[in-house]
Amino acid sequence: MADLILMNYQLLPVINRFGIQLGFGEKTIEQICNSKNIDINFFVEIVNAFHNEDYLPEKHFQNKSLNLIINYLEKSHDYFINVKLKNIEQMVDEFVKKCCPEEVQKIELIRNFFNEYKKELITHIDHENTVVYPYTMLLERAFISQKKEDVELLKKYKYSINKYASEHSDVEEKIFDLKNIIIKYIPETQETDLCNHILFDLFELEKDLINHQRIEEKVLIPKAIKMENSISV
Amino acid sequence: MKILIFEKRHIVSKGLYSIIKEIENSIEIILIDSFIQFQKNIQDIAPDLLFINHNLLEKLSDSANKSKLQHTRIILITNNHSTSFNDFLIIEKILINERKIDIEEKIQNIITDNFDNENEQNNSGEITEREVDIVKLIAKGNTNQKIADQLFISPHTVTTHRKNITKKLGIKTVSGLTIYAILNNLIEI
Repeated sequence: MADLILMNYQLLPVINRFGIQLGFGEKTIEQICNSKNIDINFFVEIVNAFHNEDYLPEKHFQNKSLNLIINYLEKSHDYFINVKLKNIEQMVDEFVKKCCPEEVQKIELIRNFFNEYKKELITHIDHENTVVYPYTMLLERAFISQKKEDVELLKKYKYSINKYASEHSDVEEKIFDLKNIIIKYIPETQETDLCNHILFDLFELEKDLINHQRIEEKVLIPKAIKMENSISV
Repeated sequence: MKILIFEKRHIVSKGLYSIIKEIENSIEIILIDSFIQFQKNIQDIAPDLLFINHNLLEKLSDSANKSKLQHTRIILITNNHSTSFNDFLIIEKILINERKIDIEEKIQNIITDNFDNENEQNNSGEITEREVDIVKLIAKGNTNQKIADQLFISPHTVTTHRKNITKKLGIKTVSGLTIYAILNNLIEI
């Protein structure tokens, strides 16, 4: 496990999502997964998909339950909102406090832009947590049980994965803009290090989000569509 | 940008002319309808894009002038989808019976690509004065249509400018562009 992190430290938040904390000594990935009751194949697939952007063969996830995948996705959501966005927000606030009075108006604009982005991302995540994921888990239950009452329950949702697929929007546009604005157009500042840290966090969040979206689009949606088709909701 | 239309049928060349002008009025368009005139002038004109009837291009394939057109980007005017020419750089085909909207879309894309090429050639990341005008109007909350009306250009052209602005600045959203405009003192808060 230590070798994995030494090879790519950006995987740290990913393994945290599986409940793995630092201090794993010489234990192998297999040992840790076994002791924490983690599906090792799933763990390896997720880590690979994150480490190498071209690596996401749909078939690797085929025998994994949607429940397992959604559980991982929900934990990522939690990390985006409660860790990443919070950290960035704190740093941006600090930046506004520390910048010189002539520039404060401009830096506040950047803060507003970030807040706009934050709102957008939280709305997006809320929708997935409260509508899309519960629907998908119910879908899987109905698919496995083939019970009439489960299918009826599913129909009551009046939702479909196709609807999700068509409205699944990019939430990266603003983060892309924000990075560019900070890199290229920020007024001259003494707070170079703080700005660097804001940027590092934005880059990491963006990478994580893109990966997250890939798993939703390449794994979650195709699997769920197959299930929907087979029970004809 | 300079476009040459080499086509004997007057209706066809005039039709193309007016479609291109609607999309981007500032483009220089030259119409030629005779082979002799074409042979004589092609080198001086040196068009960025050549719209040419496929019979005429066929005729050109056998002539000594072939090599002069080696690097010219060609749009074929044809009634047959499968026509192909190996010796020329054909970037698009326009079918004679195509709907206006499809022709417009094709031409729009070709022009945008060409503008992009020009921009890459001058390799400057800075936006042009015209683009600054557009950023200001976007930042003030105008729609593409309103911007087009104010600057007396077509909405298509506004779209093209916006694509180029995004490419240069790395900013996609309206609120991002607004912040850019304020940070660079293009507009007041």
